[in-house]
Amino acid sequence: MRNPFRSEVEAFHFLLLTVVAAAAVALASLLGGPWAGVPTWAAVTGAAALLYLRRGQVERSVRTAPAHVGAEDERRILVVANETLAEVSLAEEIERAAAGYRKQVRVVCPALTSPVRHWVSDLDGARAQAQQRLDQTLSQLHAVGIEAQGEIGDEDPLRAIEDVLRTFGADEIIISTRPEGRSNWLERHVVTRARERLALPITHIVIDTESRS
Amino acid sequence: MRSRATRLSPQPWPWVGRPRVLIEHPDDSAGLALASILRQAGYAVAVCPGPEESEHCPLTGPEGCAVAHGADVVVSSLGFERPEAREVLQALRLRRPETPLIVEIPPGDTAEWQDVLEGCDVIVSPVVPEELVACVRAALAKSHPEPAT
Repeated sequence: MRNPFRSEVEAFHFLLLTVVAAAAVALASLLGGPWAGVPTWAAVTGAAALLYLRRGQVERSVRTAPAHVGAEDERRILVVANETLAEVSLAEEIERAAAGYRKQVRVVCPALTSPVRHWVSDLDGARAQAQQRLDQTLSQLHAVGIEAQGEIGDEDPLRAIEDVLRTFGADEIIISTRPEGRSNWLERHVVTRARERLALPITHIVIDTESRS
Repeated sequence: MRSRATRLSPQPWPWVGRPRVLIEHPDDSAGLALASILRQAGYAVAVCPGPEESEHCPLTGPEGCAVAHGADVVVSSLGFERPEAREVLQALRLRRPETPLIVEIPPGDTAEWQDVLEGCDVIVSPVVPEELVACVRAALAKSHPEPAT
């Protein structure tokens, strides 16, 4: 079961709001009869949904970055991507980012899922697909001489990045997406938000498979 | 008076195990360049642009700033000519007196700002990487002295 709350503070706020909302509905029902509670309930639910949707839009202006880990001649590259991961361009970009250094590559595949599946904690299918993409990518990178390790990440790519950074200490991040208009991540401003949040070099590569075919 | 609320994650410093340095620099690329120098030296860093014109840093307001409060060292390149920047320095001194504060100062006479700079370490701009690392290291050593054996 996935916990939708990021912290105890969020859980406490949720509890507090639930109590307030229930009190508002009960009060409306008491004062205006049973049917008066219905529009109150609808208004409260709508306000809660709006708050939830706006929650991820406010970003902090402070950027953070982990310390460099490993030897001085080592470069740690974190690759974050969705279904565009299995591409030759990615290998080229990794080679560029690690040129002149010994490279350590970590690939993270966020388990992409829909909001509905997220809320009902139905993540098994998303994780299985992400594992499949990850295996394919690691074997393709291995085929071109790049040894990488990988893991499945949170369905929120930003959270997936921060999760990996806690243990990996990347020196550079490569985010691979589809082109504008066909990329869900670009619509959600994932790359922009990553740049706003992290004090690390971030390379965004756009892979347009349809125009090449 | 307007205030800018800055939402912080519950754990703004997830990079445990390394000293944490907060860099306050109004210039985006210059702040990231300083961050890169300190990262390579083994420090976890955060970069904050500080208060914008006519706005106030959350550090100076009732909400406070979790990143500043969690930092082991603060490097401020905000300057101290602007009142907003001076407020940040004063808030850091007041709220985190035990946290070393390194202030980047312009070359030349800074006598008139002595009251603002009291209790701070200074580094003269332009900042030289080796000097910055040495300054941070010295500030950390001063605030966290090695136990006598």
